[in-house]
Amino acid sequence: MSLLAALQAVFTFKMIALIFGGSALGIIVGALPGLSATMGMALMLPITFYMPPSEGILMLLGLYTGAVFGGAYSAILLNIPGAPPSVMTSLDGYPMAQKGEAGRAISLATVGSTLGGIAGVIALIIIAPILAKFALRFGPAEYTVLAVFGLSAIVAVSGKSLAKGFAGVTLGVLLSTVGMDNFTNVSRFTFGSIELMSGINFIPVVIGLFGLAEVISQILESTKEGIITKAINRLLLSAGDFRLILKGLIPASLIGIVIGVLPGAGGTIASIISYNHAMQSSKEPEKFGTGTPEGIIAAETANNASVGGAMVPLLTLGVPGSSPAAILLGALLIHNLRPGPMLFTTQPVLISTIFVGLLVAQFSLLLWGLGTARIAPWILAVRKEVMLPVIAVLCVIGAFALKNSFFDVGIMLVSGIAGFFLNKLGIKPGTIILGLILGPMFENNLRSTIEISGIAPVFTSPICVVLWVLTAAMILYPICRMLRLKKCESE
Amino acid sequence: MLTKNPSTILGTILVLFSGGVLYLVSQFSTAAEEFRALSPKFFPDFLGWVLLVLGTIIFVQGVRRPPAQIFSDRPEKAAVVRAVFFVFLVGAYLYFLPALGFVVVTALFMLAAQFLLGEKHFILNILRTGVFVFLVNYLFSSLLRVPLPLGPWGF
Repeated sequence: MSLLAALQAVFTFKMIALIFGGSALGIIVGALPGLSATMGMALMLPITFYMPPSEGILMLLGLYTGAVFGGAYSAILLNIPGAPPSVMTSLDGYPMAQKGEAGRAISLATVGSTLGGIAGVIALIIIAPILAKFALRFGPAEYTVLAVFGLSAIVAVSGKSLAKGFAGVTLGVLLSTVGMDNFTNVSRFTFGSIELMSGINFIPVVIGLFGLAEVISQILESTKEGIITKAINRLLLSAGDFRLILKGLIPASLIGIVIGVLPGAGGTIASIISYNHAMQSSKEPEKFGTGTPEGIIAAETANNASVGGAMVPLLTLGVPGSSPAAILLGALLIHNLRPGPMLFTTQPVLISTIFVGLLVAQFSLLLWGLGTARIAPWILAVRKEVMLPVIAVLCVIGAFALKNSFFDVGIMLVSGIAGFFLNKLGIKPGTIILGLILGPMFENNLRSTIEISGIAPVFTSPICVVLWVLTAAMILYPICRMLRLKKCESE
Repeated sequence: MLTKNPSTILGTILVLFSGGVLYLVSQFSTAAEEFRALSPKFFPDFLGWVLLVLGTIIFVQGVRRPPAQIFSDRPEKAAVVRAVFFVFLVGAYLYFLPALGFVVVTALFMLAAQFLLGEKHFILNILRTGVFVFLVNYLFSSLLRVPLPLGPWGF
């Protein structure tokens, strides 16, 4: 019943236009080096506030899907991944473009991304309801430990320094405590400001950290790209190319889905693992890195499959596993929709609409990818001297549009400047955002647990014990890896 | 020994920041504490101490490592000047936006910012600015019905 309603909701002109429009915008954002899916989504987030939830979410999902794929354009034509998930695509995409096969490389990336994306959505449709049903057993104690698990997983992959990852998360959680305490109405860090009483809204912080901070960073960077300007021809793939795609589809999709589900991992890690797997299982591994189609297929299929995977913990548990997922969480929250198992019970049509819409977004990739391949060099020729002021204005208006408040714009400006310096000092903005989002989940559930039955359930409930074990593994794994690397270096 | 390693700088900032956090937490009202199992102070206080410990660890890590550049590629002096002016330009944009309205201030900001970043083709800059301001104004004011700030001229 909800599926029928979802189909009716998605297959309207407005919804299809929003998904395809979001996807096109995402491809442009992903293709332009320096702009990320997170930045694009952060800038579009305030606009979704003025739309019905399903329209806003699907536009953002279209943008997310498009941006993950769009990075392939610059990876193939510039040898610079426009977005981090396309890092492995450039290894074989650029050599193919140099050989005059840019069109074929883009087509392989497009078809691989579409099929990987579809596999990811199918996995989401199968796994999410099962996990959501199981998560109905979760109480405040389980959610407390789940928040710790989410935070630790993000820390584990936050960069070279574990301590800096923890510091970023701690700063984010600390920001979440600003405002009136929910339990006692005591003001915390408000400095007598009425605006701060209701806390720091995470949207201006997201726009500042991912938008303005990136603009400042881009002004300081001087990039001299060597764009492939040869005409992009031969977009049609041969039967041999399709055989290669089908051969690589299952392993790359599985890797993408599994990595996508894990909090903290994502498209970048998925594409690296998938590429390495394809190389190791190939009969001619020496050809990888010289312009082999298998490399592009492995990387692009996996990074787009991870999009569906990343939606699993977000929708079923309310835990965003990555920065783009955190923005999607924000888009749901501004419509008073709290992701988690209850969302499957209370909003079945919305959930089905997300599933169907995400599937449509994958097909939009195919259309845009093949349709715009020939104009890709034009997209990449957009000058940053023009682009950066545009982004700065969108940051200001985006922060303002949320509540028509200049205070929020000030928060955005401060976040942008602070985020720029913190990023340069090694604290990734994603860790702050996820701390800001998961902080209240941790504090509120911990305090509810203690009020109801004391601290014991947090350590004794069977689900909590499993989550604690997973948390310990998440923290210990990078430490062990670091120690092993040091040992290897000393030997 | 204090080196120029980014970790020593970050560690110092975090230690000082955590000191400020712990001081502010000590000033929170304690009126509600006896009625609740967990004080509203507990969590921020805990985070303050965590930040202090992490700041110390990061500082020590920085001291033990050799000096390093904060920027992997040292930016040109002109780029730094441009970035600083750009931030001031954004500040000025925010300052004048409520008084002069979205259309005028955004147009002036766009022209100044493009010129500052090295886009010197004046006619093209005006054309791009005009199109962009019109589109954003139409999108927010007409389609999304977000009341953008109006100037004394009514636009």
